[in-house]
Amino acid sequence: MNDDQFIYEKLVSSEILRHEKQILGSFFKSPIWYITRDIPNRFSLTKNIILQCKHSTRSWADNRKAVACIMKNLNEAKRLKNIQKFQCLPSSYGFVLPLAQGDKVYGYIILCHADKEISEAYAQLFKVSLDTLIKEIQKELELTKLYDTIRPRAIALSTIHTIHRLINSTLDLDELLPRIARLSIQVMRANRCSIKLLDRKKKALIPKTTVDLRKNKRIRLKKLPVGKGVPGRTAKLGKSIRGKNYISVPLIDEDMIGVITVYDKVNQTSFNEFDQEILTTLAEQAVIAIKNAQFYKEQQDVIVGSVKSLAMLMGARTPHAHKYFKIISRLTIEVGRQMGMDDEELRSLEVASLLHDAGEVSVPDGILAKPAELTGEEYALVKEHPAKGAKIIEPLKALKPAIPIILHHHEKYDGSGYPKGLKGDNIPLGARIMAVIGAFEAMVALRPYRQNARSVDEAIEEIKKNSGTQFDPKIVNVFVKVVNKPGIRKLLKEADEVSR
Amino acid sequence: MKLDLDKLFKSDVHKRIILFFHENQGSIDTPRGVATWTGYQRNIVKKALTELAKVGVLVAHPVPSTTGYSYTCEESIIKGVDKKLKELKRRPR
Repeated sequence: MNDDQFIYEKLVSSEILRHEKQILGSFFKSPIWYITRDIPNRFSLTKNIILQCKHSTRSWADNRKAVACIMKNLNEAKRLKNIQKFQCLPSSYGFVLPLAQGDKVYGYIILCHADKEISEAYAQLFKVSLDTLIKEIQKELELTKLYDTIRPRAIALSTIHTIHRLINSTLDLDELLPRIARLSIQVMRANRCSIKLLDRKKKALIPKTTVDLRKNKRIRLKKLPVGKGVPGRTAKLGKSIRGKNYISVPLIDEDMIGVITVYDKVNQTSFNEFDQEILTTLAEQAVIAIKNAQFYKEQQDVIVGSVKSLAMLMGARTPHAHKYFKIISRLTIEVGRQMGMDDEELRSLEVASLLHDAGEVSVPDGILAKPAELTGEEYALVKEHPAKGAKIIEPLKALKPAIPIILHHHEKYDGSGYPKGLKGDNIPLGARIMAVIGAFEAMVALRPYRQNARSVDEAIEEIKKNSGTQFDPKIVNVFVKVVNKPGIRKLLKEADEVSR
Repeated sequence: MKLDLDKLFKSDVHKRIILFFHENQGSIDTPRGVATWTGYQRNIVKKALTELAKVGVLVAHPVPSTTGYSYTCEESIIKGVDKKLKELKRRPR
């Protein structure tokens, strides 16, 4: 429907016009009211107006005269864009009112067979009323057009905003890339999406994720040399490539970091320019999120690397203990994972596993290496090490979540531990895990105060014996399962051989 | 959970949400956004979105701060919705 048609239809169906018709009906005796989009021909005029007058006893000659009069006034109304009153026969009055605004005529209202002349005042009032109505309908049309233009753009903008929120809510690259791929599939209505990141040294694209909605399709994660295949060509050209059933867009920050490619529309149509624009916008969002995640990972690696160096430095005081760093760290993370910890919590647990005894730097070597039983004063000094360890890492904001683990790793499940005497689940989960692992490490690694370390099996038995008193039984169960895994056993054996 | 489009279309809010995603198939939006586009209150929309995701008409993309919802890519569901909407258009009011 075009604009003129829209306005005409709105006018015809308007309540105001219906009301005006009723008023005119009450003023005059049975007038004929006729609305038309265009000037009708004589036949139509005769059929729709002249022959509608039930009380007419007029001759054909009179009818023809009336038709001629109305036609003349219709043409005048069209030319002058103004109301034309007429008397087509004795005692038969009427008017033609163009439904006009400026130069535009949307239709005509014809009223005839009125039994008396229509006053000039009423005719003008009627015209003004219709002018207002037309203006209102024009405004409505403008608003409808604006709505039709803006709404899809607003919806698209809202989609981009939602995607931004969804992909920026994680800094874990392993979680982020599949999420970007899944969202791309949804937005592009595609069956498959793959993301490959560029390895500059190898001049190749490394597959990172592929999401395929088609059932029973095997996903192949293939390394692709730059220049080969659709993603490879995209990487080489540094610009988007579109085919009938694929679009490939480079992920470019300052340099190229990878390529995102979607394949096969769900409804089997071809990808078009609009699709390409959408994927490009999506890729721009993805690049920011990927760069943030990569930067965050680098930062985390630096932190963990620094913590490891610090732990090595401190481990120099207990020369055999550091041989177990790698395996103890792995064991701790594995138990934490099995206990349902998320990545963030696991990172803190790893830091704590490396630094849980950092506070021992304040304990004199003589006490740490003393083979005999400690005096009360000496033991009191040793008991301070969790609080001192927590104090040491306190200034490092990134390590803050590890503080409760370090502070409470000597608490006992029955409440007889230190420094606070916390009991059961009041002890932070990480600290309960660390208590088990710390005790295990102390038993299997050689210590200056004890020349014979226990075997792994002996240490496990000792931990099981103290389950429910010193240790959380749930954690002991998980620990026993994890420590008996062949990979872990092998690493423990290697560490034992190195330290002896 | 089994998909019963007839039952879903009996609820105005479910019908309105399905219509929105059917007309904007590339759209992904949060409950707040969908509430804006459909004109219903956010809590009502949120409940309906969860139900629609459960039966597979929508796909939920949860993250800690919110959940994004998008239209299914399952062709059989899309065709079913299309048929249902055409039926509704034909049916006299």
